[in-house]
Amino acid sequence: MSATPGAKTMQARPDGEEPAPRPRAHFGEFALLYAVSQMKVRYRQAWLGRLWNLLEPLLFLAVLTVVFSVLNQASVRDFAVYLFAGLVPWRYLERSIMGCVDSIADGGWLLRRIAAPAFVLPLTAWLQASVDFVFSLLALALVLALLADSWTIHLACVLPAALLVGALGLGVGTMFAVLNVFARDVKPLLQFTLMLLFFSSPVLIKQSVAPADSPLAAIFAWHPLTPVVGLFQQPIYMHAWPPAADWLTVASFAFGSLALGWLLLVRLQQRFYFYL
Amino acid sequence: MTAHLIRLEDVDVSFHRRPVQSRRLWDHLRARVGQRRALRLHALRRVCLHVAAGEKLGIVGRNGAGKSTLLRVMAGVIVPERGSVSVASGRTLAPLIELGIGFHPELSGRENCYLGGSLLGISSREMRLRIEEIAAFSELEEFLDEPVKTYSSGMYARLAFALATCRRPDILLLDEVLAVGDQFFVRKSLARMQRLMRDGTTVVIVSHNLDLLATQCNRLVWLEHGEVRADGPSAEVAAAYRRSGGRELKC
Repeated sequence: MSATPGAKTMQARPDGEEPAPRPRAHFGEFALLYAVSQMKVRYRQAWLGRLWNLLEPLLFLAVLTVVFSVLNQASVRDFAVYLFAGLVPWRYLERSIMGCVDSIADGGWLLRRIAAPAFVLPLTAWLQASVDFVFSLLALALVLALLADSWTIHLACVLPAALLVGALGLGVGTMFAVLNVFARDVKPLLQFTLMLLFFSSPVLIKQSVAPADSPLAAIFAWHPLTPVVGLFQQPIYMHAWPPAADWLTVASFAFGSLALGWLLLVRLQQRFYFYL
Repeated sequence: MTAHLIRLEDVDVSFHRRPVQSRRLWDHLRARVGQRRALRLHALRRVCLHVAAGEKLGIVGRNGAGKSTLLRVMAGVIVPERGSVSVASGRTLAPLIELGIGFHPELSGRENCYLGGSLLGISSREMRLRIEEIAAFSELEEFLDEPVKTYSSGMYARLAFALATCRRPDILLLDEVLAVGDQFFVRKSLARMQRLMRDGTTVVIVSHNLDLLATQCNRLVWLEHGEVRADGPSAEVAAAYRRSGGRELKC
């Protein structure tokens, strides 16, 4: 078959092919504008407006600190720093994943009308989670300023650790966003799994509480969140550099999930229209 | 040789017909083992269509004939199961499908202009210069900062049309956009559309308004059950379609 010279041809659903004639769109700008608009919409009718960006993580973290410092029989002052160090990256991860999971399934308003790359939708949800994370970091800095004894050089780890957790959230979120288009069971199953992971992780319970040979210690040793939150707990609470094994594990999770999420998206995005 | 902007070759599109409960695991399993075959609806069958630069193409047919699906295939929203679609590269394409260009219901008209504009290749900087003109053309100055979910379908379509045509696209795809506006806006939109066509924009219009298609288009395609029944000069195809009285083609 002959085609107009220079034409962009779209064959019938060969998985992974460039699917569409497209306008010369600014998809990066679209993702940014959409993320900003969504954040404005969130607190549009709230009296305190964007102040909630800071208040919400502070209140959430404060309640958990009081409850779990009692359960852990630790002082609130000491436990707050430990808890915040683990909770802030956990919330970033959880919000990235859960924000992404619905993004494509709810994206009919866009994907049924214009040939936009579906990736902009999880990317936008992830951008919102990233902005929330920045505010959580501010809350963490406030807590450290009030409660921590000292600030050490180890805090320099927080930025690369945040980048890895962000990549992990975007990768896992994209994977499940794609799967959720075809089976809406994915979201509740994922919610349940994340809850299980959270309550069995060393975010809420100090690893030192578990006796060496106990089942809890074994769970902590093999728990997938242990290295993730360790990248934050080690420098912030223990004033130590995280072990290289933790960096390697989290980097493998992050880049592996990003690659898998991207692969799934590219292979299946041509079928989204029929499920939205 | 005529330069074709859009070429469709042997395009087939079909949909699974899904009863509301069909996404349950049990239904998937039953379909897999063959107890209940998934019903398929053939929206387009072996459609071949070449649209030349500057052409004004109308698409006509009864409800369910595949008109909107054909437009979505041209826009790249639907990838066909078989066949190929090509659009000349480097051309800007503005699709107005389901009355909008990816408008988010919770966002205001202004925010949606920036969002939709970015999808049409209009940067925020350029949109700042054009937004007042869009508001004036759509006659929505007073409502531009209200969420589009509060707009009537006419207001929605006016904003979408004003946005899609604020800068001349190479290809404009219109799906019943002019059917929901009042007569004054339709007249204004037609004037703008004619100006775009004079300036070289290729326009593909889906509509049930045969008079509109016959007067605005130089070529008409009549679709029936997803197949091209007639393709030719608009006056001839419109006359044949009128004569058919909406009777269905015997397959």
